[in-house]
Order: sequence, then structure tokens, then C-alpha cells
Amino acid sequence: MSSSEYAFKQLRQVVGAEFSDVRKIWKDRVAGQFESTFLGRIDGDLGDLASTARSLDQAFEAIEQEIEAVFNELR
Amino acid sequence: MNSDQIWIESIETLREFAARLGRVTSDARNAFENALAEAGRRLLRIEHLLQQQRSRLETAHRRMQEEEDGDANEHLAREIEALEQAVGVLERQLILGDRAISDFRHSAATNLESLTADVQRARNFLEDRSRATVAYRAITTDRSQGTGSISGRDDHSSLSPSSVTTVELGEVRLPDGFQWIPISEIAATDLPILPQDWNKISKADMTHGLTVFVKEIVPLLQRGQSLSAEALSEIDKAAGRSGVFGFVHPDSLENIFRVMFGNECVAVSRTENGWSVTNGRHRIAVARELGWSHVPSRIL
Repeated sequence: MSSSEYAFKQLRQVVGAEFSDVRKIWKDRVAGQFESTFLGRIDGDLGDLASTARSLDQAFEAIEQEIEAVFNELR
Repeated sequence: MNSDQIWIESIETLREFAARLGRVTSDARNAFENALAEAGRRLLRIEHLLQQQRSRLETAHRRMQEEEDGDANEHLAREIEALEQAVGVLERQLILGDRAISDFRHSAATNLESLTADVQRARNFLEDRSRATVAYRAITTDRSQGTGSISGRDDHSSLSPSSVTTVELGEVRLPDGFQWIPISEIAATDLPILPQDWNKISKADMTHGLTVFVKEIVPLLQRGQSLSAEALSEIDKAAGRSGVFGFVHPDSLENIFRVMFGNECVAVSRTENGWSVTNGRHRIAVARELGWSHVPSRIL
């Protein structure tokens, strides 16, 4: 996992953990509503960012493997 | 911990969470910049390798031109072929890396834009909730305690009622331009007493309005809050007592505030013996019956 992907995943965890304090002061219905709409969307956005960062990382891993293979042949 | 502390901590929790959400956007933006920087470093390494191989290729070509030995030439030809292959691969991978960064930049920018908008919506919701919680606490009256006493209850939590505050009329700060005038200094002959004097508004409605004023608006003034009709309109909305289709809710704080401190406020002027009433005789009469010691007035 790249450091960027990890950073986005960490953000998702932090937001979820900090919401647990808010959940204690709201009724379940309101907390559930907030969680499913606002937090759900934020979590989705951060998930998309983590996925985008993973794609970038995987693209460079594939590129570097290809280069490594050519250099192995060169040697 | 008493209920006031619990309430304050609850509001703080909501505000801290809203602030934390605000930092999520900047943290995500930093992670995005870091990802771009890291990918940029990896691309630079490829560019560096490409330059190295191109340089080696040039050297091999020069040596090939200078070399006269056949075996050595054959060896150099194989080396040149391998280097050309490596340069070709590096050039293609460099393009792919550049494209990967470009795709990431585009996708992540879209994701960040969406995140920023969603975080803002969530923060707006939290701030509305905080305001509504404050408003509910401010206006919830404990009717069992009688006139002028208030208690706070948060509709969205299981907080217990807070301490009771007794309101002393005449000592509460009024909006600019208004003063508490002692009712005892207003001549009773100035006030309406006959049933036909109540043709604009019923006495019952006026009594209700003034009762709500003392129970709900005076405590807000007592806390030193700067009130406005607009702010009270928000409290009305939060409490579900906004007017509809031209109907004014009888408990509307906005309406009562406008009646007491708007253009139709109680207005008096000084006389030798006390105060002469220019406007608001009915209100003063009801206030006196309710046992008020003073009435908020504008002095002309």
C-alpha cells in the first residue's frame, strides 16, 4: 500500500472514530441519518481517493517491473 | 458533572467534529499532493535512467565508428541493439508514467471536489444542529416553575433539565432605544377598561402573547443575548412554530418581539406626574393585570 493510499484510509478511520463521540449525543435516528448521508458520502469520496492513489501506485509498479525486466536482459 | 457541563460539552463535541471535518479536506489535499510528488519522483528516476541509456548508446555508437576489430564490432552491435531496446522501453514507460500521473491528477481532483462539497454539507448540517440545540435549550420553558423561570432541554439528547433562573423585570437589559417604565407611574385613566376597548385584538390573545414574552424572550434578554426578529424567526423555525399561509403562530417569538420592539411598540412620554401613553395602552393594561412591575417602552 502506498503512503498516499494509507493516508486516505487513515482519514476514513479518523472521521469514523471521531463521529462515535457525536453519536453519543444524538438520537439513533439522527445519528443514523447523518451517518448514512453525510458520512457515507465523505467515506465514499475518501475511498475513491484511496482507490485512485492505489491505481497510480500500481501503474508505477507495473512500469518499474517492465523496466527491471529489460535491465535484467541487458545484464 | 451537572447538566450545564454536559450540555456545553455536547455543543463542543459537535463543533469539534465540524472543525475536524474541515481539516479532512486539507488533509486529503495534502495526501493528494504527496501522491503527486511521489509519482513525480518515480517518473524522474525513469527519466534519469533514460538519459543514462541514451548516453551509453551514443558512446557505443562512437566506439562502433572507431572500432576496427570485427569481433569487437559484433559485440558492440549487440550492445547497441540491447541499449536501443532499453531506450525504447524507457521512452514508452515514461509516457505511461506521465499518463498515469495525468489520470490521477484528473480523477483525484474530481474526488477532492466532491469531498470538499460533501464535507461542507456535513459541516452545515452540524452547525445547524448546534444552532438548533442552542435554540431549543434557550426557549424550552419549564412551565411548572411559573413565570420567568426557564430550564434547558436539548431535544436531540437525553440531557436533564438545567438549573432554574428567576427573571426580575426592570433589571433585564432591553434592546437599544427601550427602557423599563414602572407601571405604577402610568395613570390608570390612560388604560382601556371596557369590553368595547378590545376590538382590535382579544384580551386573551394579548395576555397569551405577554406571558410568552416573559417566559421566553425575557430570559434570552437576561442572558445578555443580542436579539433580533430574524434570530427569533430561526428559533421559531427550529421549534416548529413558524406561521403558515399568513397565519401567525400564537407562540411565535419573532411576532411577539416585533410587537414589543417594532414600530408598534409601547411608547410613552414624560409628564409632571409620571408617564403619558402614546401607544400600547392595551399591553400596559394586560401587563398590569399580570402583575408586571415594569413594561418595556420607547420614550418619546
